[in-house]
Amino acid sequence: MAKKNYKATTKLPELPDLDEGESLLNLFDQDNPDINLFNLVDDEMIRLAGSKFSFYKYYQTEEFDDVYMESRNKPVAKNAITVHGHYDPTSMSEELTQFGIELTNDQLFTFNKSYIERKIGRSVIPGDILKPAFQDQMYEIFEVVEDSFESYGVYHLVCSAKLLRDAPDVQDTPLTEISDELGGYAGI
Amino acid sequence: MTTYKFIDNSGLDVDWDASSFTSKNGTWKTREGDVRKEIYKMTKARSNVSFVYKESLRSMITSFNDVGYISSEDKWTDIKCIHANAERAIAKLKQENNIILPVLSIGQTVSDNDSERQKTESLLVNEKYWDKEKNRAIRILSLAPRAVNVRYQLNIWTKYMADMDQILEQIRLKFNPEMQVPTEFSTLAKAFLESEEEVGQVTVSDKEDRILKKTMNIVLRTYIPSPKFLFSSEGQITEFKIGDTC
Repeated sequence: MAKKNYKATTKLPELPDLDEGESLLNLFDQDNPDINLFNLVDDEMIRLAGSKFSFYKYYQTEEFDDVYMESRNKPVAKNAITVHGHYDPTSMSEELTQFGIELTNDQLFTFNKSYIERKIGRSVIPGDILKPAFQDQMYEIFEVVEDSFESYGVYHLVCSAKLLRDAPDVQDTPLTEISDELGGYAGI
Repeated sequence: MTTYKFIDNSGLDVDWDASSFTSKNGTWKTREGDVRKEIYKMTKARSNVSFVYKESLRSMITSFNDVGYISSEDKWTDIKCIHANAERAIAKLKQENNIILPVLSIGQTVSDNDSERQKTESLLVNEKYWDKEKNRAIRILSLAPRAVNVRYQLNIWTKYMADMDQILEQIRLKFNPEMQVPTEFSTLAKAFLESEEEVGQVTVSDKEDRILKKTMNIVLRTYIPSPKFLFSSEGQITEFKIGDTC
């Protein structure tokens, strides 16, 4: 079989230096006004499809047990801030275990990142407590991740939470001298 | 020097079959034999229920009801100890028990015979009690109690490791090396701590939190009592229950 050799005769033009300037077609463009549009749409979708929550801020301090690396005395705001978020309410799981009926109801709560940061004055952190208006249960957030990266924008905070299992006096007593910060949103 | 003299047994018949003879032991009349036969006759199934398992469990739960922890505000807080194997309908009534941690529960798992402490069945146990009303001593007879080892699992669930360690040291101190588990049947029953197991998870996947649960395996060395009988000075044998007056 004959060996085929192809030889190009056409010389391609030189490519422009791509690092020099941004193309108008770049999808990665943090100044793109569409990002804010998407963000507003996302916020509105969460408000429309979601529900109200009472949000109790955890005032993170450096006072924790440095041996066990845990804090049994978390200063939590007594007064709640009402926020909007989205979650899928699920019924309480009632497994019969060696501790009787073990009520568990781990939930994922979704907030618009810009909205919640503006509303509570900071980002959501593990230790914050939530109480959905729909259910008479308190949840303790233990993990917060950023989600939804459409068009290089971070729109969501997804918070994993479990039933709060601290003593009632921990939930009801303000353990800090810091006054509650009542936030506002969009000038409201 | 000592000298030994060996007996010449060449004339003895050593090839006889012992099973071909009928023992006459059963026909030998003794007072003890009569009493034993009478007790065998009077022992009915219903009198064999002493509720020793229930009372032992009750005593075990009570033994751990004084456990607590010192909170972060240096305040002593009692911890509830509940039965670990509740019926769902009743557990539902008490479902708030485990919402707030820590919580302790204890459940009976298995029981087995203790061959080291067992007695022969025909052994008669003679006990004496003082009857305050009649101002005289009474004699109680029974067959030997059954030596058993009843196993329990003590479960601990906490939210914080600081609480778990406080609970563990209190429990360990109760077994030094044994813990008395008094019941109405025995004040000498002793429980021993056998082992400790990690039940919860420290390594958890994404979107899950650690679970601090431990189980301590306990063995209670106790006896299942045989039915007791009052043996009067006239020789009468009547059924006797603890709490009865004669």
